[in-house]
Amino acid sequence: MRFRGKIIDIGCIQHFTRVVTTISKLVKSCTLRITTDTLYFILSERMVTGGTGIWCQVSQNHFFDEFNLDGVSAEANEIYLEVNPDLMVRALRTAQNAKSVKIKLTKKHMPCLTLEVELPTLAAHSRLVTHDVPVNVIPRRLWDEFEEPELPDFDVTLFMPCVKILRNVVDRMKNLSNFLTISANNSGEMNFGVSTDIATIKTHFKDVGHPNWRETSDRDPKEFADARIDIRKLAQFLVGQQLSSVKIICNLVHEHLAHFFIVHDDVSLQYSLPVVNS
Amino acid sequence: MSLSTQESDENAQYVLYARLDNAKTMANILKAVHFKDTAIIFASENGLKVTVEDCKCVQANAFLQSSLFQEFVIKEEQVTFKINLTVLLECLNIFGASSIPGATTALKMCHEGYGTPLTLLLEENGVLTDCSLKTLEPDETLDFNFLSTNVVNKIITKSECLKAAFSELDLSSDILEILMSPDEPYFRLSTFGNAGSIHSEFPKESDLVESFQCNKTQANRYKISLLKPSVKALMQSTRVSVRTDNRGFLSMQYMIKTEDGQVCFVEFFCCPDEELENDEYS
Amino acid sequence: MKCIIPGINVKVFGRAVHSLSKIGEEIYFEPLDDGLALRTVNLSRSAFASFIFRPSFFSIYDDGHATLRNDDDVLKCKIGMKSCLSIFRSLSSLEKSVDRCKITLNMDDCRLVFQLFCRHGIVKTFNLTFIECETLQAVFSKEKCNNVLTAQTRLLCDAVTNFQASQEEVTLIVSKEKVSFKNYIEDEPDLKKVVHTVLDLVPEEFDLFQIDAPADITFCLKELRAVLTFSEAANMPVTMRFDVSGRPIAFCIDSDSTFEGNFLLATLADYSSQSQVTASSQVGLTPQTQGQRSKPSVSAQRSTARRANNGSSKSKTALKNMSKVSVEPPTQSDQGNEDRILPISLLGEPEPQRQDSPTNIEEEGTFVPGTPPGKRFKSLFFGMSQSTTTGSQPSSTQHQVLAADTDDEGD
Repeated sequence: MRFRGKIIDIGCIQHFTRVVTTISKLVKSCTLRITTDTLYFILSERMVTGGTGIWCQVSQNHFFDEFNLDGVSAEANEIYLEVNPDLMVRALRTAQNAKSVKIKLTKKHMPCLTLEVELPTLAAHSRLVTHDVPVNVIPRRLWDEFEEPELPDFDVTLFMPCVKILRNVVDRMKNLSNFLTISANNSGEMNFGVSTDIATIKTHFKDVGHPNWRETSDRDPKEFADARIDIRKLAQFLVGQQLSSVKIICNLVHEHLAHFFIVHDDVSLQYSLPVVNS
Repeated sequence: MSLSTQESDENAQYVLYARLDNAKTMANILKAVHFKDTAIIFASENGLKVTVEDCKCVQANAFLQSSLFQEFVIKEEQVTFKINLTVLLECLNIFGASSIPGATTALKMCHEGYGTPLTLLLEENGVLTDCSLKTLEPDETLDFNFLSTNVVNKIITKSECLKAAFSELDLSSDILEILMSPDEPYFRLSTFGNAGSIHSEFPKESDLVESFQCNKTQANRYKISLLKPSVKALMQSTRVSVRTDNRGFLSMQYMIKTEDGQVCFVEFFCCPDEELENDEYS
Repeated sequence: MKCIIPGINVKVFGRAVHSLSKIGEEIYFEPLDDGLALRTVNLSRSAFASFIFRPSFFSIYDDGHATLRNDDDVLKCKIGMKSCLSIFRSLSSLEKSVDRCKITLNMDDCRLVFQLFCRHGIVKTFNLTFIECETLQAVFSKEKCNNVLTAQTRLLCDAVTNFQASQEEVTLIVSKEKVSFKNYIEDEPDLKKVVHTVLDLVPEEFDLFQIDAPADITFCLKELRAVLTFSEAANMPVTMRFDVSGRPIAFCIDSDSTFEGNFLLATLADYSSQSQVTASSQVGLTPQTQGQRSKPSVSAQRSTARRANNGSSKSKTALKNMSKVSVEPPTQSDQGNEDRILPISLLGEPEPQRQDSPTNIEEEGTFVPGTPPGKRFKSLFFGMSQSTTTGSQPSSTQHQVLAADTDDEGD
């Protein structure tokens, strides 16, 4: 089992860091699946521990100039690792001005993803920083726990409103309650609200836009679907969206699930939150 | 401005109705007195007075005069209720606390009368937030009976004069001593904490002192924990007046300029910590 | 005593205090003939820092010695770090508004008085309580260091950014060909949580690269950051002087003749190297403790069994073995023995007649339960100047008293 990849473009290094940073804001530990053309960050929590789901796909050749993989076996040319994305981010942060970053699977005191960062200096030579990020190799027999989740039939699907505005609103609401209700319909109306003994606050967005990725159903376009979710998780998700130009699709299954979907520049991220009953 | 006969029907049911183009104006003034979760709001044709008290020893009042509002309608002589100030501020700042240049949040505030909630409608960039806040039975507020006629010493300074001293108060000291005197050192703030004593002296000739009217030497001590919250008002203000009366009661009045150049006032009253002879140094 | 710091230097002075505050809880304050000394030591005695401000740093410098009747009145005191820091808390406002800072001594009330004369006629007076004490000195000979590196602050700052803010210790590995910094991992129950980081530098990156003997030195990173916060703001190069592991490493910041900063950090011992027993004439040590010290494994804070299984060639057991040595107050017989009075050798003064002892760093650990990382380090030796009797306040003049018989209400 071997893996070695090298990124030499500074824009790619920074972009890759942003992607891993986004993941690190959502979860402490997740699965990294490496295939010859894609890297996946996966989380599928059981309902008992929160029920959050993350599926992030990154096209490897969008970032890496060199990419060599020898997976577990010839017919299963993949590697599954349990990683702590925050540790990876901290190592990647030292590379934000680097000439190159090499990532490879190594065996030090334990299996590691070793990041070799080549830093420029005022002189001709380079400075080398090496970080050994510990990981766990996930055995083949457990791989089926990390399959791509099937998307349910959504009641409502629309684009999220401007993230900057929404982020501010959710941050304020976070101080008032642990739970927020998203309420939206297929006519472009979307509300975010919290309710406590002292106050009820609701923010209304109109004309948010409708993505065309699914066939329209028979559902009355004015009918609202509600999803009451953990507000801190939503806030973390919004904080992690560092590119404001990117459109986020929000899908709701009434009183069951809120699902967020972003596609940008060869990176796709799906984040699903279960509904919390009042 | 206050009792327009052409008010629209939609506002007919409100005993109090106010409209403000920039919610930050109200949010900033209220922030200056936000040191407890609850406040009492007194509404009259003059505007709003928001009162916060602590320990029955200190009282802060924020004044939002009716001329500050684009529209201010009140149907009763006085409307009073208690409200959660923390939540009120979150609502006023729902679109973010810091001002993005160019973007202002418009505010509509309405109240249908005793026992009904206070409704806030905030709008920025076409996005609308509506808030409904429970109102509560108002508590009795203190009357410090601080009369101008009883003022012994009065100093008006530019706020920057006191900002450093107040924001760096040694909190290991229980009390803050304020000395005001026609003689040196004129105006002195002192603390007596674990480090030792710390004094900040402001001479009457300082160019930051705008007015100096001290008749008698007074050194009064106040609990630091009660005065510390006044720093919020001080930091927003441009000028401050410090007055003590014959009982040693303290009145600090802060002049705050709003974003659109209007002037608002916040005042703090505090009673002294100990009985001291007012005609001696402590 | 009277010193006046002109406006332009107040910020530098304040920064020095900030830097010292990251090391210890008290500032030892001593006006000397050749300048004002501010020194501190951390609780576990594994880090020592001192700043000496020469008379040229001040617009007026009067150490007060001229008016003294006898040597006993020379001011040697310590003040609380927090109190001193509060005077210089906001460096930016010091720069903007302070015209000068005056330091005087109010002997009648036992107060060290700091006055900030600010713009607009405002005067801020701090009357700090102080405790009289002995001179705080660390023993270290710059000449005896085999290895010297001088680097621009920028290089060291860039180097430390590669490590986590929470990283406690770092290892400096030098050879004639290269210099590396590595994060040091002690016993970490969850290895999955720890990233190992190594940074490699070449000799050309240093202003001065003088390595006589390869070395592997581990010291506290947090303390290095304290050095760098000062040197970076002052934009001054840092000189590192060190020897082998177990001996302290000195970081020196030198501004021509106006001031000098020295930070002395203990390093982790490489147990396999020669036993570093110091001469028996240590101040304040009872014979019993000397016997303990010569044994390699003394009562350990943590179990050594776990460590023994560590495959690394460098046994770290010594680090965990802190001899719980009590430091007695100097007995009558110790007084007057000038041989044990060791001057501040950081300034490069020659070592007095002690050439026969293998090292001059005390091996004892003044173990303080519950203190931060430094507790594993070999502590530094602190000479106590014996010139004044300490009858008045025994407990306050001792750095560390663990012996039972100093506790009057003992069982």
